[in-house]
Amino acid sequence: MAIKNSQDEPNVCEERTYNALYSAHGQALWNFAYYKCGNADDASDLVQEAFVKLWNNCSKVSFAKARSFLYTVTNNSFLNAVAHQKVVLNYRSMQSSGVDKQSPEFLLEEKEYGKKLNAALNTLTEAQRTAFLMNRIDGKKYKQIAEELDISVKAVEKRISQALVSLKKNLDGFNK
Amino acid sequence: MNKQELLHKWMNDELTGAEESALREDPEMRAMMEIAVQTRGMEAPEFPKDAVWKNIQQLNKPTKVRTLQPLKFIVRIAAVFAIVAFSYVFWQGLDTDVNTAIAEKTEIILPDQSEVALNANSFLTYNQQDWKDARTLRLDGEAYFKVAKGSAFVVETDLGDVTVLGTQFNVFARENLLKVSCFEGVVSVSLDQEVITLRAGDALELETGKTVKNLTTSLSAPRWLQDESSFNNAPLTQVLNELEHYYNIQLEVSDIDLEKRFTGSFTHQDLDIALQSICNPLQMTYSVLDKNKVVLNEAE
Repeated sequence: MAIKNSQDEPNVCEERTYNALYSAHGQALWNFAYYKCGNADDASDLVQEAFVKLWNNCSKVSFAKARSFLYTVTNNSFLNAVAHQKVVLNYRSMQSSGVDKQSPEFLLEEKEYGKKLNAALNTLTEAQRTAFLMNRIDGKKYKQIAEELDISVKAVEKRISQALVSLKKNLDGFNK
Repeated sequence: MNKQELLHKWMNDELTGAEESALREDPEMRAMMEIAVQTRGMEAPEFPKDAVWKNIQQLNKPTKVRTLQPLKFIVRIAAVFAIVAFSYVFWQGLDTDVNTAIAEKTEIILPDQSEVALNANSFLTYNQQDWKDARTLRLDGEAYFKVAKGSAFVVETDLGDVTVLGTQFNVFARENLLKVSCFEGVVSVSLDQEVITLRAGDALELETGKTVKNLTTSLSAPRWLQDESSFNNAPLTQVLNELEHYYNIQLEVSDIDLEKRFTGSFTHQDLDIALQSICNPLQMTYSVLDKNKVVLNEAE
């Protein structure tokens, strides 16, 4: 059995490493692309392009830099090519499943709220929405988002604050 | 710590339960926290992970599988070889043609080691591939055959087929004249009407529309192999025709009787000597003009 030196950084040009990067970041990168463009096919294209570029530049991109490389490429490609469309998210209730909450009226209300929330998310700027959803849906900490977007944590805070203020304004009067 | 900062901490799951409860006291904060909680319940459409991966691998292929390039190269070379091999087989299937020009003689070894000496201005064709099955060739002109023993060896001519088993014989087949001389073994000549068998020393001559002349030959090989043409009581036309096979000349014969008979021979190597050999015995004179024009006249 070969003794592995844990200090050795995996080589992105190795298929095993490349596959692992896809397994680790493919889903989140696709979500990121989707938050931006709102179109599943375009998101897939963006992810494909990013990974192909990573492969073509595998000797120049270190394993540590691979993730931010993927996000940067996706972001650039998006800015260059993809027309913006409305983001359509599925809404599943976060309420605890008490019996009293399962009434038809309540479920209808939930559905309405989901639609409304989705519409409100689409009024956000692409930058606000992307940062906010990366935190909310993908559960990423601000620090990670900052790395992936190549911006400061302060900038992430600002975007998310703006997102929350805007959403609250849009959802006011919806008594939830 | 202000409420905004606490809110961000909460968004990052870094707030204790007590701090969170305190933050919820503020109605504005509570409303935003509620929105954040609800948004956590949203989800993006399904990521077509496998399909995208397949496409990525497809797109990466050209650079990824470098070994494909040499393979392609090999395939190209193989294709060239295949074409060459195919053409070779195809070529083999075609007839082999042998042509001699005026004054040119050649020797051919057939696939069964039979030898053919092809006289000047003659055309021989045979099929190299079918030779094993049928030793058949077609002759227009004159050739001498030394046939290796084996199955029937057939020389097809316009006037008839000459069939042998293993022998040495000469076939002359030009225009309307067929002459066959057998020097060794047995030769069978199939004409339209009859089949004639020639033994060593026999010869025959056939002109279209005339009867077959049976002749003999005392030679062991045809004279032309020694660069000579010999005639026995042959009409002058025949002699002059023959002369034109060895020398690139145009003959002009204005006042000469072409039915004159000639017995003798002429060489293939020197036009003057050949012309003398023909003209002297027949009381004729000749003059060679430019452009290989030869005029024959009755001697005064």
